[in-house]
Amino acid sequence: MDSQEPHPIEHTPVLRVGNLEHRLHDAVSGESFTITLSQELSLQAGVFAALLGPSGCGKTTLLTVLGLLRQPSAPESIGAFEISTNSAEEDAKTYDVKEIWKKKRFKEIEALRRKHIGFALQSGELLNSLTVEENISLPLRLNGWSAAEASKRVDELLRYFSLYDDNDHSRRLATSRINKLSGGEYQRVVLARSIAHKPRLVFVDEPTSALNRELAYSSLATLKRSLLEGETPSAVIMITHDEQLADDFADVVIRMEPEKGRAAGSVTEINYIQHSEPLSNLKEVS
Amino acid sequence: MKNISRRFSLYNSLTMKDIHRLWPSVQHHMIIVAGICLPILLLLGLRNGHVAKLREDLLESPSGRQVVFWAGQQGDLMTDSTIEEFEKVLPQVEIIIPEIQRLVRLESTSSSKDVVDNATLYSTRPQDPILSQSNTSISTTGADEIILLESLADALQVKSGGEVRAVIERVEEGSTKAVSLPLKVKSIIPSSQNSENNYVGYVDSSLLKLMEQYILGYQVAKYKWPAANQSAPDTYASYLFFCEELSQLSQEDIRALTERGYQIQRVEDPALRSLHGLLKEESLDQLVVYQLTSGGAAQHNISAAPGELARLTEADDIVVAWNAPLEVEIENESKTLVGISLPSRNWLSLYFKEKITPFDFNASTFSAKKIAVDVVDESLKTATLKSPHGSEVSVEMTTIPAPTPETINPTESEPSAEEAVENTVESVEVVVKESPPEVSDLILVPMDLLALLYAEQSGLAEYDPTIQLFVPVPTPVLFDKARLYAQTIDDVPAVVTSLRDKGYAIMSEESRIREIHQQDHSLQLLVWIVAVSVFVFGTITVFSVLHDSTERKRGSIGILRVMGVSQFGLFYMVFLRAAIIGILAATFSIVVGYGIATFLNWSPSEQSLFYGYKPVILLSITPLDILIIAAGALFCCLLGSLIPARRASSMDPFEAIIEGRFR
Repeated sequence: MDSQEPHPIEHTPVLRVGNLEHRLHDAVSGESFTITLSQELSLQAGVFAALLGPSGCGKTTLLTVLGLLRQPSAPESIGAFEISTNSAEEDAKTYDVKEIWKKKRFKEIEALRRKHIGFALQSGELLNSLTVEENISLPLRLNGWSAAEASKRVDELLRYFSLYDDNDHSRRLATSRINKLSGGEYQRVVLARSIAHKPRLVFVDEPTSALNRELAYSSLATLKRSLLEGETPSAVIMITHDEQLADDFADVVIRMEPEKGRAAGSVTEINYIQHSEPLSNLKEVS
Repeated sequence: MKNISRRFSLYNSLTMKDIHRLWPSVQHHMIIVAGICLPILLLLGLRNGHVAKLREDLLESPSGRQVVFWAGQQGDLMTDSTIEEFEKVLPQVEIIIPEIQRLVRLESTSSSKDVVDNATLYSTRPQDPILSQSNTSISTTGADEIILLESLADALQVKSGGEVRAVIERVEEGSTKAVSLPLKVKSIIPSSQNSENNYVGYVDSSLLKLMEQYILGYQVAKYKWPAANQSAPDTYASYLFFCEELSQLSQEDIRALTERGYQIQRVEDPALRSLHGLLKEESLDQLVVYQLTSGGAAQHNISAAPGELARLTEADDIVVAWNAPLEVEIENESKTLVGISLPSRNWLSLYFKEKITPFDFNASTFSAKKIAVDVVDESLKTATLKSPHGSEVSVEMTTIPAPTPETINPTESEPSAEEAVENTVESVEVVVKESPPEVSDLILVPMDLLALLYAEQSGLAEYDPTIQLFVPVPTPVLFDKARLYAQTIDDVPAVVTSLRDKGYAIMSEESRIREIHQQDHSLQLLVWIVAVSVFVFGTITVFSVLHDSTERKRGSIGILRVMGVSQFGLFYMVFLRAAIIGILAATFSIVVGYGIATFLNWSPSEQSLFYGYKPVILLSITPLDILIIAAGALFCCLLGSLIPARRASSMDPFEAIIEGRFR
C-alpha cells in the first residue's frame, strides 16, 4: 500500500486531486464523453463543497470518479489523486489513489470505499429487504463493528436525524422496512447511512431533490452539524442545482460547464469561501 | 480474521433476510424450479416403481419364459439324463420338466363311489413355475402327492390334505392287471371350466415314469409292482463246440462262423475241455473242443440258440452255451455253479462221468443238482440261492453222488510247442493244458439260470420275488417333449437357438420377446430423449429463472459494491441465495412428490367408495432419486446464478445501480 507518514489534519487535505481527465465511452453507441478537472482541488476535513453545473455537464461522472466508484480512463495521466485518512486513527495515512488505480489494486479501492467514503446517492438506494436501522448499520457491520457498537451508533444517528423519538418507545420507525418511509424519512436515512461509519469523504448526489426546501435545509443542516461536531470531521462533496443551497452550506463551490463543440464537461471554477465560523450560516438557516 | 468472520456472518444474515423479507419473489422462483424438479422426480419414481414392476412381471412371467420343445424329426428322444445334461449346458435355464401324460383312474380313498375313470395326470417337478403361479408345488422329487384342478377335486369329493388313489392298468397275456398308488392331495388349484375334459391332476414326473414302467411290463420295486411274467433273456459269454477226433470243424465250418462275426479258437485248457471235471478223463484225448466268442473282452452278450450254431457247421458237433462257473451261496454255503444244458439225446452225454447227467433244454430254470461226496439225498427239495447281487432265489435241488475219482495218466506228456502250433487252426490259439479240477461240491444248474445270474450281476436283469423270475431291468423312459423355463424372458432367445441347433422343434414366445426387446429398446431410447430434453430444458429454465432473479438484484448488488463489499462477498451472497432457493425447491418437490406417490400407491379397500375408481400406480421414490433431485436443483440454481452474479459484481458499482433502477 502506498502510504506516507501520517500528518496533522490541519495541514493535510482529505482529498487532493488535480489534472484529472476521464473519458466515458459507450461501446454500443460508440459515443464518448470527457470530463476534465485541470485545476487542483484540495478539500480539508470539515469542508462542505458544492458541485454546481447544468444537467449533462458531467457532475455525477466526476463524483463517481472522485468517490472511487469508477476507474479513471487514464490513471497514469492524472496529476494528483490522494485521499488522507484521519490522523487520530492508528492507521492514518495518505493513499495515492492514482498509483492504486494504475496498479489495479481493486481490493484496496474496495477497502478505501468501505472504510473511508460514504455515499448518499440521488435516489437513496437503500436495501429494501432491510429495516431502517439495519440499513444504517450496514456500513458499520461491513467494517467489523460489533452488533452492540453498531446499535449504539445507529441510535445516535437516528436521534441526530430525528428518526427516533424518545417518547416512541416502540422504535417504530427504526424497525420499519424502508417501503414504509416517507420521502423525507427515506432521505434522512440515506444521509445517516452515508456517515454511519465516520468516513473521511462523503459524496452526496442531489440528496434533496425529492424534498421540499424546508426538509432539504433541515437534512443538510443535520448532516453538516454531524460532520463538524464529530470527533472525526469529514469533507463533503454535494452535487446540487440549487445555488441558494450552495450559498448557504458550501465552503467550497465547484462549477462545471459543458464544453462547446465537443462532448465534454470541465471544472471551470473552484471557489474557496472563508467563513469566520463554520456553522454561522447554518445557524442562520436553522 | 475477526472482521472477516463478522463480514461472512453479515453476508449470511443479509441473504437470509433477503429470502425471508422478499419471500414472494423467492417463492415465485422456488415454485418454478420445483415445477421442473417434481415431474423429473415422479418420472424417476415411476421408473423405479410401475415400470420396474411391469418389467419384472414380464421378465418372470412363466408363460413368457416357457419354451416347449419336442424331438420332431431331428431331435433326439429324451431321458432323465438328457434333461440333466440340458440343465447343465443350456444357458440360464431354471428348470426343465418332461412332458409326460398318463390317463388313469382316480378314486377317492374315503368313498368308493367317487371315481373318475379318465383323469389325466400331467408331469410336474418341485418349483414348477406354472404351479408356483398358484402358490403351490410338489414338495420333493418323487413325493406321493398330487395337485388337483378344482373340477377334478369336486368330482372326487376331496379337499386339500385328503387322499386319492391312482389306479394304473396294463394288459398282460390277454387280461388286465392293475396296481394302485395312494396320493396325498397337496393342493387344489382353480380350473377355468368344470368340464369332463378338465379332469386334470399334476404329479411328479418320476411317478409318471414309474407308472410308464409298470405299463411297459417292468417291475417297480419302489411300490412292489410286479413285472410282466416274462423272463429276461439269457445271454452267454461263449459257446463250446465239442467234436470227436474224427469229426473236427473243417475250414469251411470255421469260415462260416467267423463270417458271422464270431471268433473261434481251439480249447486246450483241460478244465474247460472237461467242463470243469464233469467229463471223463478220456474225453481229453477223444474230443476236440472249440470256443466261440464275440471277441474282445469277455462279455455275456451272445444269445444264439446252440442248435442253430450247430446247424452252421458240417461237423457232428455238440454246442454247449457256456458261462464261466460262478461262486454263490446256497443255504449259506459257498458253492460253484456250473450251468450246462444239452439236448435230450446227444452223444456228448456218453462222455460225462458216471452218475452225472446235465439238464436238458426242457428243464426248469430254477433247478439244481448238487454233486456231493458224502451225503447223497436224491429227493427234491427247495433251496435258497443267494445271488452275487443279493437276490434270494428259490431253486428245486437234488443231490447226486460224486463220481469215483479217476487217476490221471502220469505218463501222458504235455504237448510240445510244435504240437500246439500244429493244432492251431487259422486264428485258433493254443491254451496251456492243465489237469481238470475235481467235481465234488459243484452245483449243476441249467445254462439259463447261470446266464440270468450273470445278467443280474451285470445289471441287465433283476429278480422279481413276486413272480419269482429274473426280469429285464427297466430301460430309461423315453419322452419326446419337455417344457423348459428360462431364468428371464431375455434368456429365451438364446435357449431357443441352442435347442434349435440340437434339432428340436420349438414352441415359445421367442418372436414376441424379440418384438418386446425391440420395442423396449425404442422405448428406452424415447425415454432417454425425453429425459435428456426435460433435463436440458429444465436446466435452461432454472438457469433463466435464477438469472432473472439475480438480475433483479443488480441494484442491491450495486449498493453493496458502493459500500465496499468485495466481489467474492457478492458471489457468496448470490450463490447462497441461489442454493437456498434450490434446496427449498428440491424439498418442496420431494415433499409433494412423496405425497403424490403415496396417493397413487394407495389401494382403497373393497369396502371403500373409491374402490374401482381410484387408479393405483406404483411409484417408488428412492434415496438416490432424492439425491439426484437435490443435487440437480442445487447445481442448476448455482449454475443459473453464476453468470449474472459475475456480471453484476464486475460492473462499475454505479452502473449496476443505474441499471438496477430500471429492472
